Amino acid sequence: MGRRTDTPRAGRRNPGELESEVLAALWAAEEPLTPGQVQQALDGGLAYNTVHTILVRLFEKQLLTRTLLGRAHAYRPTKGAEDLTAEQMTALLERGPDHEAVLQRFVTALSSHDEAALRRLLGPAG
Amino acid sequence: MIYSVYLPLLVSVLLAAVSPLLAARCGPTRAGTGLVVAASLAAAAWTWALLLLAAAQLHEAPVVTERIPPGAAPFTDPVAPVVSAVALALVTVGVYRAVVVVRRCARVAAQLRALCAACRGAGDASAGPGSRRAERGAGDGELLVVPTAALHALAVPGRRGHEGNILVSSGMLKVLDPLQRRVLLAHERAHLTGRHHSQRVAVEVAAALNPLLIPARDAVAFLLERSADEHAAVAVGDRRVAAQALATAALAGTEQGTDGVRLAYQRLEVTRRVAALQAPALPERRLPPAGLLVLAAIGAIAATDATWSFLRLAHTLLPGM
Repeated sequence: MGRRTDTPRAGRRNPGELESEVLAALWAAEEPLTPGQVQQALDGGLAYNTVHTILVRLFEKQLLTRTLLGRAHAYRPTKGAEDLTAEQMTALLERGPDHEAVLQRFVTALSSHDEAALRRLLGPAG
Repeated sequence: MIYSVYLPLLVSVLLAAVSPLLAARCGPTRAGTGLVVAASLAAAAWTWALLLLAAAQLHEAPVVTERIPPGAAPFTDPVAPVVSAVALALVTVGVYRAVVVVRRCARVAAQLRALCAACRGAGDASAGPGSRRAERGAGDGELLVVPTAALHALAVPGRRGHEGNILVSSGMLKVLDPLQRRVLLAHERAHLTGRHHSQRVAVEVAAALNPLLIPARDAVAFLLERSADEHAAVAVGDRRVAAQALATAALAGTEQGTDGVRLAYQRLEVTRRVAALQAPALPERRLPPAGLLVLAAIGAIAATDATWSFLRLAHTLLPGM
């Protein structure tokens, strides 16, 4: 393992990371978003121009589709054969503990006891 | 010979004993890497020592005893036949289990890559013909989204030379706020850049070869998640936000109730990870992982020493060697 991963890295995000973030924001939204709306949905203090550039780049990669909404384009993620990938994902991920070794998930499910412990940890502010 | 062969056993027991302490008390990144290397070394030394114990019966074979000059010192301490038989059985089962683990990991990894390809293909199919991308290249996106309400997020390692993908369900993106989504992305990215999947597979194999290393494997699984959490906390600049992102995702998953059965340590894991993020950061020390490596090296050297006696035996058997 390289030295660069020893200490966590802070600070500026590279273009690839920003693209992922914009794409994630659009997938989280219920409807197509204009660059201004994406900028708000990011909550990350990015300049309008930066957001616009990223959107155009993602559109050119065919990861987004856009429609003209008044004077600005509204962007939404390109969706394909939804059921197929969703079924595939469920089949792959809900198959039990044997497969956990290679599946590095963000979180796994909680038991009711753990849920109570977690809510206690978060406190009233959580 | 006897001590040299049994030392790797002792090392494995010690590793099992210190693993939980390490997981609870040390900065996760270095401790994780140190434990992966130590467990791998310990598993290799253990397997080799078992092979030597099994092979010690050769010493009793007439073809050897005929060739030992009268009065010469024996090459190895005598090993009871039952010990050799047990050693042979253990090593056979261990290797079989290791092969099963490796094949299963390879199969799941291939299925994950197929799923990623399907996600890319889905986007391309509706965007127009002639743009299908085989695997993620330089200009391609790292984030792949599966449109489903189920809550999933995981890192999919790329094959050699490819960076890998972050595979997320749209449901997961919807339950998180913008900062929490950054935590999620940074967490999975840390798995990819740290090559955590290789480390997971390495300790799975070590635990398959030597079940005494199962606590070390579980500690590594936890430490790698913790390491990714700490990287994510640094990326967003706030440990509390990272803790909230984990908790939000875990609690949303519980409300949805879609997830299947999990191992005990994996269920506990999220709560412990949130608690660790709420406590002050643990320093990334060099000493504990270095200590682990010394421990594992002792086991490995002991096994090498036993090899030396074995080579003398083999030389007697096959004078041309």
